[in-house]
Amino acid sequence: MANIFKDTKGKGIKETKDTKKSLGDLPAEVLIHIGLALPCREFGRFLQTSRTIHSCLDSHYVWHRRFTTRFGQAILEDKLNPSLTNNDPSRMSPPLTSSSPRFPSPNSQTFHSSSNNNSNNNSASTSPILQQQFDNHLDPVSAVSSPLPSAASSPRLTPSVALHTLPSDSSSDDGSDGDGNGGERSSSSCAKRPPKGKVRRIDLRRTNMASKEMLIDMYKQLSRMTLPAEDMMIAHMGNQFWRMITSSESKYGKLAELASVWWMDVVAVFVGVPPGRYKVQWRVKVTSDAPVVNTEFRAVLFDKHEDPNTAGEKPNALTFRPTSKQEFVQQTDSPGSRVHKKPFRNLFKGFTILELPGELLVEGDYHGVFLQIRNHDDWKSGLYIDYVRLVNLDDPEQSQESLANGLHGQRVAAGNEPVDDEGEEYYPTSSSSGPLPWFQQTLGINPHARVDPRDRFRSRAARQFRPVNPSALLDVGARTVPNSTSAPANAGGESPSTARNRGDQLDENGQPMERPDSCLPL
Amino acid sequence: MSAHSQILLTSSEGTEFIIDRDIADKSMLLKCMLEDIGEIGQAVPLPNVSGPILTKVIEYCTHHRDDPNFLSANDDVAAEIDEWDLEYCKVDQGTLYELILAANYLDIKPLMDLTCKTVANMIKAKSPEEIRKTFNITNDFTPEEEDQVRRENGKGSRRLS
Repeated sequence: MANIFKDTKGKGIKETKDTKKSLGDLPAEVLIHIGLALPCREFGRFLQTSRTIHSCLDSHYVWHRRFTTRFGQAILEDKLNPSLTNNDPSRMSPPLTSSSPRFPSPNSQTFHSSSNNNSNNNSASTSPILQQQFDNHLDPVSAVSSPLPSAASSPRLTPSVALHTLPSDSSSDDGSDGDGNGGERSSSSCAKRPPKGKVRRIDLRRTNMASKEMLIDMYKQLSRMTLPAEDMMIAHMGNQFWRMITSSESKYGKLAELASVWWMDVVAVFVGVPPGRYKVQWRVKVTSDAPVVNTEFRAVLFDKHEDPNTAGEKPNALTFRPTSKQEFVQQTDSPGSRVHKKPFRNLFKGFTILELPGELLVEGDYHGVFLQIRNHDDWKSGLYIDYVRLVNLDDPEQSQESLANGLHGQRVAAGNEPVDDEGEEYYPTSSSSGPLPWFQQTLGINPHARVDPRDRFRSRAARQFRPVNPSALLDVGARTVPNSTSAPANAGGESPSTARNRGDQLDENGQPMERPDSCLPL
Repeated sequence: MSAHSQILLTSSEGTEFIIDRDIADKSMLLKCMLEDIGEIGQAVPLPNVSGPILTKVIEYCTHHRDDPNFLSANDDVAAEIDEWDLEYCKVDQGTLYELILAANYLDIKPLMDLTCKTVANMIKAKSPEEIRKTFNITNDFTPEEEDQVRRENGKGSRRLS
């Protein structure tokens, strides 16, 4: 086939001949170059075309290049550090004091001493992202108090954590977290962190040590466009202020629950976000207006070579700061017309999607996105965070999920949309739960009627029958709809989206069986 | 060395091309060669590049002659292709392949990026089977292998299949 190229030489550009050429005959370096220019979804498909292409492109070199092109080299090095430092005591150095302005100085001695790992959490706030993504997964208190590291950490490892824990360094990660050596680990990485504004030197020899499988795993993990609460950096996580709870209401099985905190600071970082226009959506449950009113919801873009820890200080942020509950509700997928009529705790039944106004514009190269919820003003409680995600407005499939496009209207239920991570289905999308929403939609039943307080008992009893008997469903719907006239927005004007939302929630409350554990990855 | 000095190139079929030195310098191959041996006044033979393709390559280099970011700007694979380049790449597949090969041989990184990006754009939104058809790739996987590869890499292809 190679001589095809010779054939055409001297004859000029002849289409008839040239169309017979195969892309697979191009030299490997050309194929690699093409592969590097492909986004991940297309890359996966390109690999499947032929054996030559597969063998050329599915190599360590290509994955390494793809990884560093998209996410930058620093992340890879940070990920490798925990395992490297254990083998290399010379890299250990005395811990630096945490100087991040995002976090308060450890003002409360009680929580400082309550768990060694809490201070670790604080200092970790300045350590590399990937380590931080791991921090919330382990309950620090029990991890410290338990004598056996494996006993402490392994039952807490959800399947998603197991995926995060990459094969090559899983042992060292667990070990350092569990047996209290986490301080050393994070302090050493802290010490290596250069002062702000300095370019860090990257050791290529070290980043080449990552195995191909590790690179692919990390690639998939980092290319997510949805970040569960576990992977956020939450100040004061793991003690009386914030905790991770297991809940069937979460798509990922775990929620961050705000018990009560003064200094609220939640950070989620996306790296390697491809160019495009994005909407930011938080899936939260609020039972009080304290955590949302006057809270800043920020989104900052940063360059892939920038340190995400300093990106939060950049001034040109997309900021949403609701000054009243109405302003907040308008940005959610809940119908806004009942705001005046109900106390705040009744505004949202279950989870709601908060979509920040404005859009993020990622241009040119891959960028990182730094998202933050912050309110450092008052005591607040009653907030649950499930996930935050970026919705690509340029992707026709995804853009329908934006509230702005189908606002309070025809869009699919907020809790049920597939999580599309730009081709990498890191988390399965099987969150849709059973036939109930379908029944409700088909039969035109308004599931919200059941949460009317005056109807609570009857509908709770009726709930038991709903999933098994569609006619009972009809019955309940017929009886309860008149009650909902107290909420005019509901009486038929409710959007399918919220209807399905509630149906979803109803499953969880009434029929926990309907949300199988399979909503957890793998 | 003055920018006005001229270089003589010979394509595979023996056609001679006279180009300015600064255009020849866009090709790392020619640049290094000329720096090593100096300008000896003889034609530089390029046996791997045909005349029409060399014309195209020279057209590209001439257009980007005064581009200050010629070597540095194209580091990001995700960057947009500008209009002239888009128009430039509207050629049939065979020419495109030859352009890639010529860019690869002459070591002109921006042209390599551009042409590979063009191919990548043609791959986008296609299933593996469609890619094979478009680019005339023979599927030489055994069914078992194909299954395996699909399982490893096909998570994203769910939406297309």
